[in-house]
Amino acid sequence: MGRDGDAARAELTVRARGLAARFKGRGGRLALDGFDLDVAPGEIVGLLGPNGAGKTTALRLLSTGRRPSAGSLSILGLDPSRPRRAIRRRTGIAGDEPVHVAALTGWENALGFAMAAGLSRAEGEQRVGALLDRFGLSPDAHRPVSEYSLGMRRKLLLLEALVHEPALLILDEPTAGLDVQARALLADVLKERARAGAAVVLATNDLAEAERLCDRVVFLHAGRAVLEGPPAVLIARLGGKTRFEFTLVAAMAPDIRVSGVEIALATAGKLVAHATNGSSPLPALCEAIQRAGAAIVAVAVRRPGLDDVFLKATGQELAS
Amino acid sequence: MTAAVWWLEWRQAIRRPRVNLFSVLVPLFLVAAVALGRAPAPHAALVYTMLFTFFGTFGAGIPWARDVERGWIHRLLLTGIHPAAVVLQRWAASALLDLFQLLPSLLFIIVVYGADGGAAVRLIVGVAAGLFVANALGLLVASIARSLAETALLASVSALLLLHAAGVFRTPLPGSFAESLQRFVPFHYVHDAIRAAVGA
Repeated sequence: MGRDGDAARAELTVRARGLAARFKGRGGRLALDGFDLDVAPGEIVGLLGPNGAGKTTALRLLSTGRRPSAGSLSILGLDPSRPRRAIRRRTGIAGDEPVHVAALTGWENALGFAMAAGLSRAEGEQRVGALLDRFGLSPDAHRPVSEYSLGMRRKLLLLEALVHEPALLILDEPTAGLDVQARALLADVLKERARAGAAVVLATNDLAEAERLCDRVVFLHAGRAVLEGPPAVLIARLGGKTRFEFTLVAAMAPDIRVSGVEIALATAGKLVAHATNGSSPLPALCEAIQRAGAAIVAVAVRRPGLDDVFLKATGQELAS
Repeated sequence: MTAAVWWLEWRQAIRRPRVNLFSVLVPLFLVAAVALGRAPAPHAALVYTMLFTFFGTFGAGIPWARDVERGWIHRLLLTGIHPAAVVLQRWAASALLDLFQLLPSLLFIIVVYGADGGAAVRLIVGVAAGLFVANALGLLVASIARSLAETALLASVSALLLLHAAGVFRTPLPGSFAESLQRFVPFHYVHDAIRAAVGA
């Protein structure tokens, strides 16, 4: 690789090669084994995989909360084996547990974090105020966190990760415990931060969210990255077929033929069809069924998703 | 150096009036029971030295161990704040808070035993210095221990050993190694200040 390759490497926010880490305890099994990851500025990358695949361990290494037992890691162009404060100052982390001082108010917790992250009190107050507004926490800002719901505490955690406008955001299950509106808001905020040049690495079991939010997903299985790419590309390549399930009222099983559609089951009450080209054959299918003399009572369409991709790649169900 | 941890500690103290009240009343009741029970002055001084030392050691060690256990300290460190800033700010805030909480007990001792101005000042300054040492000891053992129970055990054992080395439990023979050693243990001077205040 020449000078261009070196420049590209230097520009990466995260560059991990062959990372390994063991679960705690003597002789603990490998939680990560030869894990590679590149994340560019402005990119949102999702780590997906079943429980125990190594997602949280990977995030801990990236957040400098833990050192790898093998491999090389560069974050924001810095080596995390040296003093890690420079990396931490530019990283925002929201773990899976919303740990706060329960006796303090949301405002106090957030301001404390802003100050710990290096903001002056005045700057911290201004940013915390704006983020509390944005996350809809302003009415409860001066209530103790002990009175917050789990969703509110998770919002506060995310707000604290964002308050110093970090160049790298590391989020573990960021949508867990959030309602639909808060999820949409979080997606907006993360996309804004990415547009401003921040890299986002998140681990999630919410595949639909990952599909909507991430520019790229990385599937982990037994501590290794087994597959990666943009969600739409992976689904198109490996997701398989779209499934149409019609509930019918008919005197007999309809005999239909539609180009690009494979009929898996046809009875007087039910018709199941598969198509490789997404939902586009649906109108033609409906028309064909009605022409065959059957009435459609209901139709369910199941698009292939990231869970199908994982199943295809590993031969295992992606249990959350 | 950002004063985030110092600020958080004081905000917590303000938000916990009930805990503060107990922290004032419990030592005050113990001091009052000993002082009004007419315990011999040397025995009373021993009880007060132990009480104030344990107050500082446990007051710093147990909350620190609890905060490590629940991931709070780790979260703070991941912000990039210097670890020394976390420890020093926490230490200073905790020791000062302990002093404020013990002030009614110290004033009670000064009044009940009729300590003169010099002895009174020496008592307050001595106990304040002792609380800083006891808090440091608490933080040290909490950072070594792996659980709350282990912290409590290590705090008790180390505080008792240091009190013993300070000559709180017995008077060492003149010229002995124990007598030389006690001069290097800060609790020795705390105990001296308390003895002077109670007239032991």
